[in-house]
Amino acid sequence: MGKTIKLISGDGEMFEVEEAVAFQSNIIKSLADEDNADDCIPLPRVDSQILSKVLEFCRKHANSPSVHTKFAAIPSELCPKHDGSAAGASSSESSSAHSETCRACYDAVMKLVQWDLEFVKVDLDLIHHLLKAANYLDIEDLMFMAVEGAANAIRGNNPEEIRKLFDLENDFTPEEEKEILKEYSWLDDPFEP
Amino acid sequence: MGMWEVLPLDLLARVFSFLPPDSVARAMAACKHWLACARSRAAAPRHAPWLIALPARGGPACFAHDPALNRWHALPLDFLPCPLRLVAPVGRSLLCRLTASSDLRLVLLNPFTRQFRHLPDLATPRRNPAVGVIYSSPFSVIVAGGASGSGYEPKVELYEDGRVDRWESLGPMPVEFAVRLTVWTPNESVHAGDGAMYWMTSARAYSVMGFDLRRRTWREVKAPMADQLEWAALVRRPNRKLGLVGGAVGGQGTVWELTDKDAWAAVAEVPAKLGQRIWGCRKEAAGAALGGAVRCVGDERTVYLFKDFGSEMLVWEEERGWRLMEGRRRVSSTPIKAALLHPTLSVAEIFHASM
Repeated sequence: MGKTIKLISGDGEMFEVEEAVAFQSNIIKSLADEDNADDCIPLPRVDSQILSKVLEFCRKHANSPSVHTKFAAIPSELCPKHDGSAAGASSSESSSAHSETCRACYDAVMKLVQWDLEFVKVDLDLIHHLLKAANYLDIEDLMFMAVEGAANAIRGNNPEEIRKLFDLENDFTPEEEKEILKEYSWLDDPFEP
Repeated sequence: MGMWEVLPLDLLARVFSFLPPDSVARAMAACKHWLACARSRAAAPRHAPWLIALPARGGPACFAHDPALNRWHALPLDFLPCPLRLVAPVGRSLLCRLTASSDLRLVLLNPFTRQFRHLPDLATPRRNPAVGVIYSSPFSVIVAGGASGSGYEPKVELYEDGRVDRWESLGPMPVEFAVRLTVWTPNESVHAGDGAMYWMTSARAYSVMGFDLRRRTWREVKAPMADQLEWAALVRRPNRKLGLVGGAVGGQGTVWELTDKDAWAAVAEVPAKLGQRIWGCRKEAAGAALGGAVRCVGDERTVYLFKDFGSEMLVWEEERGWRLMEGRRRVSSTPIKAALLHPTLSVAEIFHASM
């Protein structure tokens, strides 16, 4: 195990993880840089159940570039097939050229994306907590996937279905709801002259 | 109260930013908190902008093309007290002019949220000037040239939205530029990273006028292949460079970028077969509007080329190259003016400036 860092959840549980895992959180990274004497970082706003989910995500992403927010190609140094033996400059141009032609890298990225999509196919309560944790801990890819998970639950559903999924109280009168939908009804009617 | 009802607005707005407009509309109808969030906050757009076309002579509706679904929509304009003609996009709204007024009178319009606002009248009224938009926050508008009385108006004016409620003079411009910008009314303007506002004359031989906003000086830049281009238009390029898209006989077409030395570097070439589908093979007979009929609308990421709104479009994106987007039917047979605009359902604050 490489250098590790200790995190304390809001409910007092301790998690010891590798730096590469924890440092996907920009907040944890900057707190660790501040030279803490006991290298134990408290995270009062995240409880253990959520933190363990967050760390599961980070563990999976530890050795991959930010696939969602930067759509980065895998640099040839991280290619599972070539293990750093790729010749040539390591500019971003050659990186993207590398993974465009390297089947192993493409497969690895797609697998990660698939895993992420499964990861957020959870109940919306958990997505809600992941969204807030990703925001609080500043983890870009987790934020992206949590937002995507919530958006997926909205997409294509009508207001009543949305309310059921997100446990929203309907504080509109039927007339008010109708008015709002009427205002945007043009979106559902493609123009047929 | 459910947790999604108390989620911080910025996070909820981010969720909405991942949704196409019709899903946002349905989310708005779910509860008041979500309605307020979607109405007040427009997170950075993630989808490609839509193509918006306003009939040149005004009309009861304008047309919007959704590139994700390749679908056209008619957006009603019945809330407008007077017909408007599109001048340029400004952020997530459109700068338009009153069709009925021969002196330039500008109006800010968002056809998605049905909001509009008049800009103050120019200090020196004029007909047919060049209009340039600087989109920062807030936005600014420059007006140059035009005809007033029996002569050409050489005064340049600037309006900075939200700062003062009037136009300010930027001094005179050389008369020959005023003439060119008036007689051959330019369409789009591009505010480039070098601090200049560029317009292009709408007739051959194409040339580009640049107004340096800091030094208040004017210069002319010859367009590439100026004598051969049948149609041409200016677009913004990435890194805020000035771009020029133009086509010639035989389906030939190029995207250029202006370099630091006022030279044009070709960035992409249109495959001739695709160009021919849009602007034909042969040189049109004198008088026929080949050049005028090809519309070019673009931003830093995408360029659309088409003849009629609703028919086939040639689309260019830097990473993807050229592709044809299937036409459905002719959406509008009247002349139109088009721009790229991100659809927004949020009520924009720029419509609430002091008026």
